[in-house]
Amino acid sequence: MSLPENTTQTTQFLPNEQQMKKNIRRRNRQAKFWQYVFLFSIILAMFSLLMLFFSIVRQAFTYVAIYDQVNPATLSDKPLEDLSKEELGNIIETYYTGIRTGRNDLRTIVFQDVLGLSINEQDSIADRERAKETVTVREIFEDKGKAYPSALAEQSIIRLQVADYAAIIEENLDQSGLYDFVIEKVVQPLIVDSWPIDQYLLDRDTIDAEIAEAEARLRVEKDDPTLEVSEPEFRSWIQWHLLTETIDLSRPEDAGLRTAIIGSIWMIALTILIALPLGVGAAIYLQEYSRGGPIARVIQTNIDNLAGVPSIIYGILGLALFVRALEKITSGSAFGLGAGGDTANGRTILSASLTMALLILPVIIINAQEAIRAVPDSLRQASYGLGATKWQTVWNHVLPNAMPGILTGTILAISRAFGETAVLVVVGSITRITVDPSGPFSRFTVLPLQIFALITQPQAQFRNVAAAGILLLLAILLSLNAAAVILRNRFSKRAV
Amino acid sequence: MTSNGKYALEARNLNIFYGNFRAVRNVSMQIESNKITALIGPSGCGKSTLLRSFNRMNDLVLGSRADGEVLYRGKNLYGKDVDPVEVRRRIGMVFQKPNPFPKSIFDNIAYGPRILGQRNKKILAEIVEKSLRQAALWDDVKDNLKKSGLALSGGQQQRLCIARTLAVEPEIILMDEPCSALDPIATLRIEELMRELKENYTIIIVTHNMQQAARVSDYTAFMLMGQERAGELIEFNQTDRIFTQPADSRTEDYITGRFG
Amino acid sequence: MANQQAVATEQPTPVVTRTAEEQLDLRKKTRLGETVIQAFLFFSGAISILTSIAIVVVLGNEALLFFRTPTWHEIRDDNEKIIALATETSIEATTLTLPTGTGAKVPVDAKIRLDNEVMRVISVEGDIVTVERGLEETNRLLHPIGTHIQEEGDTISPIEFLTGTKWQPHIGQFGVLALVSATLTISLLAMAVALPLGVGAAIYLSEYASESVRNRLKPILEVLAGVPTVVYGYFALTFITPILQGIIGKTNLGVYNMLSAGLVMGIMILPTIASMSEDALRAVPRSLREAAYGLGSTKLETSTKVVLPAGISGIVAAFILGISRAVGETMIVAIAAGARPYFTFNPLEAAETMTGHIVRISTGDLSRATIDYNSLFAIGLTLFVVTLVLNIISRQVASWLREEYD
Repeated sequence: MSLPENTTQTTQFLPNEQQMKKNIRRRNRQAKFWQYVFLFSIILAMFSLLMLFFSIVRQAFTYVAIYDQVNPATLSDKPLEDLSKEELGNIIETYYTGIRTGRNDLRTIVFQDVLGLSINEQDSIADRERAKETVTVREIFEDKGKAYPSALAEQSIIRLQVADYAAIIEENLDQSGLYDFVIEKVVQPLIVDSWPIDQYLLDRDTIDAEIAEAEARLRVEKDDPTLEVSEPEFRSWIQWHLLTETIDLSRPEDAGLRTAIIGSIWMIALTILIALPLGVGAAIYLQEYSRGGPIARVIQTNIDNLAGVPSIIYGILGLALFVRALEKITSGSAFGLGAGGDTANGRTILSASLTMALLILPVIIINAQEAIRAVPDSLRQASYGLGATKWQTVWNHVLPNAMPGILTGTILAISRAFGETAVLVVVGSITRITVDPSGPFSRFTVLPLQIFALITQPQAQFRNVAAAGILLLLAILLSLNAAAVILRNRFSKRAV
Repeated sequence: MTSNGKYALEARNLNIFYGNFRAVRNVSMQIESNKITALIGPSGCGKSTLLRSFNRMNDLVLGSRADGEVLYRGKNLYGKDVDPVEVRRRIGMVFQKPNPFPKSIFDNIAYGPRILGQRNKKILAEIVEKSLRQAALWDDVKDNLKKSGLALSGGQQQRLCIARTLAVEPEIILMDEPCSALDPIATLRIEELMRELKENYTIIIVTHNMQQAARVSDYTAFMLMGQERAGELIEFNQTDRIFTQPADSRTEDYITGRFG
Repeated sequence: MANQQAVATEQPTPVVTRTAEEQLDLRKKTRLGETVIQAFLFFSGAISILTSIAIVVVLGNEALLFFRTPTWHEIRDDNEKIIALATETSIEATTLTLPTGTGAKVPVDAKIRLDNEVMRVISVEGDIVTVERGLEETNRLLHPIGTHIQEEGDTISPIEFLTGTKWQPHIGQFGVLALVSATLTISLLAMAVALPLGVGAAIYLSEYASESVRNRLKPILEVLAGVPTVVYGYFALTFITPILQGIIGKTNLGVYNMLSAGLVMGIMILPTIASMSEDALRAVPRSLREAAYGLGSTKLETSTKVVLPAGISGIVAAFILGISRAVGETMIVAIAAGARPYFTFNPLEAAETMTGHIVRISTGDLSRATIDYNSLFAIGLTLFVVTLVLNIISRQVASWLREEYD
């Protein structure tokens, strides 16, 4: 900037020295300014990513306010945790006597939670009872090694009264177990509202106001002036039961994602089984068999075009082709398989996997092609020189060398399939399904679709469950991507 | 264009580093105004690096660094408050391969004046004509100024690049093997052009071609790769002297073709 | 490489034992295994072509069905009032009772529809209509008082479909522009975010950032590109929309709106634009940058006046591909933009895009035979054609860049 000035004015064309100096100062300022603008763009992109994660984490870890659907004060004068076993047993008996389905509910609890009977065992008991046989309490309880009041020994296990079932429960639980039972089944605490953790830290006033408002509303609704909504307490929505429980669209706090996770695993496994051989086969055909030929060119252009088709179009294709036109095959009825009466109408794992395979095929092919292209020609020539056939060369030399690259591409394709939602919305896996899929012809749902269903639920707390589900989904995707990166690095190190 | 001093540029104990690697060692030389100075030497001797240090083009290479001084009218180009943008405006450069912008011929030449703040269309047109005339390209392209610069032949492209450099009215023009990508006829035309240009400009040229150096230059500097592969200035003198009675035996070996 | 193939099949089997009796045999052999494998490989390659054909045939075929299926609309009396059942019609009944004086409006020996059940009118006596029920594989239903009587109308012509601005299936209006307007608004919003930021980020990465910074930043962009779209939808609905409501006011901006969906979609597309643009800028030869610097350009001038124009075809390609992604993007709009198929370009409103509508049809309880359901394929076909054309243009533009510097 401080170069000596030209002593002689050189030209009439360019601005004079003085102007030029000003000009250069201005330009340098401009350059600096825009450098920050460009930097800002990239920082904003990073910031968006941060916000994206934050927006999910804040909904997965929240503060919640709870109220008891049955006010403990109406059950007993003393605090519930101080009650004796008998008193707690009485509460259970009284409560279940008071509701219409009380006897059935209690029987189900005894069968499932106390005895741990499978559906089949329960059915067989019911069948035997229908055949006028008495299935005694003694038989079943001794078989399962559980305690029962001796007075009930010879009675039919499904014809007991509420009091009897309550007595069985009382017999099998200690005081703290009974207390938990009363809280869970009788008091039934319910989440009234939830607030993201940042709001709890920054905006307590609004939360308190909302709690007061909810309390007032509930008091009128339940006609119970003593009803109380708890102070906000911390709740992590990432809980073990996400993995072990099925979806429950009535109680967000109990909703699990097991069915969706198993569905995702089934769908992905089947998709790989279909897409990997086809994708690698296509890549081999294009790279080794018809390189540069007219057919290869047509296929190549076509693959490039398919890679840009929106996924929802694949969904529509899958709907028309696999779900409808090939229903006999995809529902399994052509093979005498499938879910029998519980028909999925072709909306099965198989249909979804076939559709998904078509969707990720271009990705697998393009990556596999690149991996095969990277195998040095000298290897092929060496193999041919020893008299190997084309396929022997490909199988013994080209493929093993291209494998890490192919696997990397496949993992990336899988991670896309894992997060893909639009396709499956259309191919139509059912989102309320609570039965684990058991094979290619099962009805099913997948994790991202379940998340979508949770987001669209009217009750806001399902969004907290969705956030937990998203964190799970992202964890899976990140591990997949990390695996791909590690594979790629290991491969490139070996190649050097 | 003419500057007052005898010397347009002076290097003092100049060392150039790329990271830890010293590419040029301890060069001191004085470049006379309105003369053509040629830098010759075998590949890798650092002559291009030296040339690029004269207008701080080396700054663009990550990790490059210069020790010592390059004096331009008494002012060190590597001084703390010197703006390389300003330096490059005054000390222009023509590259090995013709590198016209993918724009029209007119826009190629008007680019420089425009960034310097000249917006007047009439003046721009005058600058374009003047520069093209100076570069002896005007007659070839005057009817096709809208044509892409890339549509010209190699020699024409290089003259376009020279015209583009002239348009910002530098005092010194650095030429980095400007003819290496051209055929002999185009080369001769560029050489002719250089001789005309030295009336108004100081020219420093790096060349592989000793005959070219002998043909066009007034002064010649001979460089060689020395210790630790760093380029060193072996001999610097009037071109006649270098080619007829070199002081250093290594220079003689080189120009008589014993190595290189 | 056809000759290479020939060489392969002509490879002689190596002669392992050389006995005197053995004759040298170099004739071409057919190897069954090789042939089968090659057939499978060819089939694998052909799958992609089959997929394309299937997409065109399926979408075309089903869309044709849509254009051939007649619409239904309510029958109205002389006062333009909709005619509705006067009494409940049980599942078994074969007569319908209409309000007094309206029977004459019902066409005899033609099809009518109540809810989703199609019937044929056998005769009309006063206000009592005798019908044959459960036609066209529809189920007999119980129809309460007030159920509208619909008669068959015209089919929808492709012109009506493509130029209509009303999407109201219950009155037989299927103008796809109502959905296109939302698609367009959201896509443009997305591009307004993604293009400047993406190109800015690309310039920074390619022209300013050092190698190590670039190597650190690019994987982060890749993470952004790998996040499932349903997560972006969640982000839009639960995070961006409340923030926007805080800025614009809840009365001006509903829970579902195009603005939030568009902004978040822009963030989603940003990595694609940035990465493609960066590739385009990096493909610009170094010599051009040197020329610019040699003339005394600042870094900004070099980047924006020389490098950017030189790489513009790559950036245009990225832009077009970005639009194509935005048009085809589904989950963000399905979650955050709302379910209101109205012709509007106001980003503050809720509106339904083509993809959003497809999702809604798919997740709803529409029966397969209805025209609403078939409209899914007509929309799909429109979407397919639009994105295909955009993708082809994008690749063509990108190839100009390659030609320029090859």
